Amino acid sequence: MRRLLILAAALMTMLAATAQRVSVNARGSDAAAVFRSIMEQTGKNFVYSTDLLRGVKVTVNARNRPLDEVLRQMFRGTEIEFSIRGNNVVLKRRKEAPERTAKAARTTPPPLPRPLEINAPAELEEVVVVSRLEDPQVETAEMGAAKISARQLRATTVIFGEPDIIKTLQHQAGVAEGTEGLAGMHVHGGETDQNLYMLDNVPIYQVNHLAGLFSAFNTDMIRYADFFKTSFPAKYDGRLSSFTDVRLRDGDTDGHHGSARLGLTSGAFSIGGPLGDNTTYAAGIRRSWLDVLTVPLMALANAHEEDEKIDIHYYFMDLNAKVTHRFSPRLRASASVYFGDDRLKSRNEDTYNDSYYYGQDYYDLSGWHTCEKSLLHWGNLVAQGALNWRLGERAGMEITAAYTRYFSSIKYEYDSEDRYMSETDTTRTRRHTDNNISDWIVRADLDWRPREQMRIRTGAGYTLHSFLPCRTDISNMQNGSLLTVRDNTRGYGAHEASLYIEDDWRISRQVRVNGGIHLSLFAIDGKVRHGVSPRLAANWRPAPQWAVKGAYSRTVQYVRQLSQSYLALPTDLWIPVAGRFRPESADKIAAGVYWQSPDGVYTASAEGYWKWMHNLIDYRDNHLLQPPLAMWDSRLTAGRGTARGIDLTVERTAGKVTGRASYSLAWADRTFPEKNHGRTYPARFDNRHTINLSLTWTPSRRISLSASWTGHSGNRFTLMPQEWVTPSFGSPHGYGEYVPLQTQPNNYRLPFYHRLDLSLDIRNSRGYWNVSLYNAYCHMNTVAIRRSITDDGRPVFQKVKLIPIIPSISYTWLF
Amino acid sequence: MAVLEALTMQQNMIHKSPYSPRITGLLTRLLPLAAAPLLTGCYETFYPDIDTTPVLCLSALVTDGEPIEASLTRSTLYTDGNNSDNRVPDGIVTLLVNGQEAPDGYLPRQGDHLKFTATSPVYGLVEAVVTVPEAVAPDAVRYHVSDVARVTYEETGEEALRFNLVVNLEIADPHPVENYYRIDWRPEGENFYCSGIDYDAEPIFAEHIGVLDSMTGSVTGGFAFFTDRQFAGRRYTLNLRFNDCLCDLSPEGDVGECGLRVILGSVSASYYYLANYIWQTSEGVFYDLGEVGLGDPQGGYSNVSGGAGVVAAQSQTSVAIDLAPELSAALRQLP
Repeated sequence: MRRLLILAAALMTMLAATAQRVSVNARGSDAAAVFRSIMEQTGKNFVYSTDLLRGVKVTVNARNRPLDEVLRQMFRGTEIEFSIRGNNVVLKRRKEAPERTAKAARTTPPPLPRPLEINAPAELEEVVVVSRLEDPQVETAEMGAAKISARQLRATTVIFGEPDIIKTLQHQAGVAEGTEGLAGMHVHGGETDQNLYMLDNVPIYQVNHLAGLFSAFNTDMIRYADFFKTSFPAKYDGRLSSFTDVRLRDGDTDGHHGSARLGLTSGAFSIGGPLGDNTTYAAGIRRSWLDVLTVPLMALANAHEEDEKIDIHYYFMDLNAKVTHRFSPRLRASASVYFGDDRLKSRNEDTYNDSYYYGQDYYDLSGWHTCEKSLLHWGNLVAQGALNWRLGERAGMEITAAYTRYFSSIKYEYDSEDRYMSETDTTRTRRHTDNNISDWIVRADLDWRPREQMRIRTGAGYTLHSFLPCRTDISNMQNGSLLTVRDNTRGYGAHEASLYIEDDWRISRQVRVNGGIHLSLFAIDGKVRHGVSPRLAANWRPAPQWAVKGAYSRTVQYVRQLSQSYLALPTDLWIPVAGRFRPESADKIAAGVYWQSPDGVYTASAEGYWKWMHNLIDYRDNHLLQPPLAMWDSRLTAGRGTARGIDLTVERTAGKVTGRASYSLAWADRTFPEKNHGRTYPARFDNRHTINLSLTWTPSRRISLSASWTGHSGNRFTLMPQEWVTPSFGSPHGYGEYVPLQTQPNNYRLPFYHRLDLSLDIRNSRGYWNVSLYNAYCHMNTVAIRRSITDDGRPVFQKVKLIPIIPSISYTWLF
Repeated sequence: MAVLEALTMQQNMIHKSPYSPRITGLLTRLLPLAAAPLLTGCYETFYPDIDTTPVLCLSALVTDGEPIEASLTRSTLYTDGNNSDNRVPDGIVTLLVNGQEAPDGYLPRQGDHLKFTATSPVYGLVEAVVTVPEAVAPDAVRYHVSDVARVTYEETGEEALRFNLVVNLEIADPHPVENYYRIDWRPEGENFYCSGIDYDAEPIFAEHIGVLDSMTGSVTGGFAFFTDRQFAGRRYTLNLRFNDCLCDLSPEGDVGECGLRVILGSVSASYYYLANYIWQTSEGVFYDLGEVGLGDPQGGYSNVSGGAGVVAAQSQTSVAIDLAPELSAALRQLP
């Protein structure tokens, strides 16, 4: 009670200080849509529980009126009351619902009472009206879209307890996680690089830290993320399988708030607040502290070695900063920067003072000193500025200029100095590989609502790409004689232009259509490729609680990531589609049925899809035999793929117990004329059955317990049961070996994969503890099959099982 | 190497091994740290239920001007071990040369296009094609000896010259298409001994090594193949360094017949890829990742239609290098 009084006093103070004026004209409109308009004028966030506004229509007509007056008018006669707290408008249900009026009527019965969580600053950022996915699924035309809130991110248990947006998305129906523990995401039979990740609508290329164990997004800075996997708004193109738009939070206007988190592997700090009357800032940093552990470990190791000194440092780091300034209720500007990198640095020095016999040979190593150094450095830089301009009451415009860059550098140095009597042999070896991609982006987006039931979004953009797929230098200096070899790789410049238009039209109470088209041009090496990506999604509601949807989408992709392993390594390349290759494209049809309970607490959906992928680019067989200095495109071949399946989801979104259950039935295959003799073969992550169950129990405001169980048909694996003997050709290099006989790729399905994760949040007045168990019942899943020899010399196959139960704990301090 | 075993432990004859236990790569130490949670993994033996059909394994190395010999075996189950019977007693291999049946006593020539066909009533038919590459004679050869020292065999009291040798071999790559080469050498006469080429001294012998391979300790390991990717259609000078060579001196203290022959082979792509595959299986980091499910497993390289066997071709030129004059001059300079 005392806390409520304090809060009320604070709210009253804030109300007095926030006499902002707005203009709104709506008749029977979705409340969420009206909020969006107010937010664009005032910069306010709207905070409410997701079930509060289901089906709520509002009518309001105000021109340049104070915000609180407009809000009162909006909610008059409803069971919703509001309060303005700093930059947030907090909505909650009145304790006693008033009589309904003709102006504002709730179309669904009042849901179960549910306490609103408005005290913790972290909660304030969770449900705000900027996502285009605020409306219930039964009302929208889009299919397979989800808004991921900060709360959902925290509720997902991952290895080491680090909240991770990609691993949260892996629990969505129709998404295969790939190799366990890594940040792979295979959406509807697609590849990992067919997912476009955006940070405030700007592409980000490298989304992993530490080989994929962690994603590059600092969840403390995330407000929400929109995820599209089945039908796609015309605004998005450039990838075949999914689009994830991660939105960063703005700073609070009512004071400086933030959080500090310490976990097993990293620490994070974020803060945000006002800078004057109309400016806010938000900044966050996350850094792993594995190197803090390695320093004493290395010191211990080196203490026992007189001749050998090892020094290893690894860290990853993210830095986000965002400044938002409101020039007027109609004009707002923001600037943000993101920098994230991984750095692995090592050094090993050896001094030899010994000699030994090997057989009858005598080796004297005294006077030999070697130093081996390596540096792997990779990451992203994203910088952007945006101008939001409200054009009257029904239109808004956003102009964005951005720069995004992925970089990767691998350096290796080996120095050897061999003093032998009066002579000194010196050897210097240097290997250096660079690859990067840089984009300069300008874009303008217009959001226009010509009529209450119609919303048109349109925009155009231009991107100047610079690619350096892989450049390798090798040099060797021996006793002053220097030899250097550099590969023939060159940089590529490319121009990409795009234009889209999208109309979301509620034709009648039963029918809503979202149609649009995305046009693109990609010019590289004197050739111009073009893409025409029509989009159509329709919603027919035979009854208020039911919706039947259908959709068609075509997507085009001009860049491709090449990875030689499932780990995210700095050797991964982003390459343009150039030369003999054509842009990758996909055609996808989908249909689904959706249901929502009258109180909005339960939802269910069934979606089916069929996807055809064209001009897919993949490595050739034996591509690893091409020297690193070979041109990257000589390792590639083009083909096609198909994916089809059904996703079933049931969800409970409100109450003390919330949860989701989903089941996916899927097929995915590939056909490459130059692989497997042109015959179709299953995709690596062709998981036939996937079940995801997640449950969150919140018995009180202080405690929240989450459990999620994942089970899916095993990944596919290339198992080669036969072998043959290589010819020796009289070579002294040991040919005449038994080697595996190549078979159809992915011919063997690994055993069924399953695991249970548990997570417990315990709150106190200053923050919360998180305790989690990854793989709680310690079922070690098979990730591969290897060849081995038993102790008695029998050749056998063995299942490789990797990840056991992993407990973790973290504490987040809120201030 | 045999000569080194005969050497006694006289101080000025102690040598450094080119194969000394060089650092095995930092990442080999780092990966266990980075993958600490993965180290708790385990293995479980099992017997996969998977259908297999043996295929013919056809292999041959065609050398310009030499008779052709092909081998025909079959694939076997990995779990049967190396002692399984892979013979194909009823197999037949036929050869077409430039589209015609090979005549009796046929000796391949540069530019010939060969098609091998192997059949067996049990295992079916496989085919492979290869073209005998054009030999490339070095345009110029230069050599230089350094660090010459007189050493003595303790047991016999015989003397030898110990020295380092650098041979520069200039190659004019004949076509702006991809060519593959292999370097070999052998001593000329009975007085010259050397442990071999220091492949680390010539970057082109390391072109197949990725930078991650380097960091995980991969070494050239005697990989004597290279491509013309860096000098397609142009000239390139190979830097062949021979360390710790010995040349026996005559009882009179003179330099006798002492030299070596450097062999430059033009090889087919299949020969290069076979060699690279063998190297990758022992040294390549991505092959290791495939073994633990973090990459795609790689089958053996083959250019035979059934996926087993390698049909390769080569043409060779060689150049003899007589070291006696330069060593004699160096000997005269010695105290």
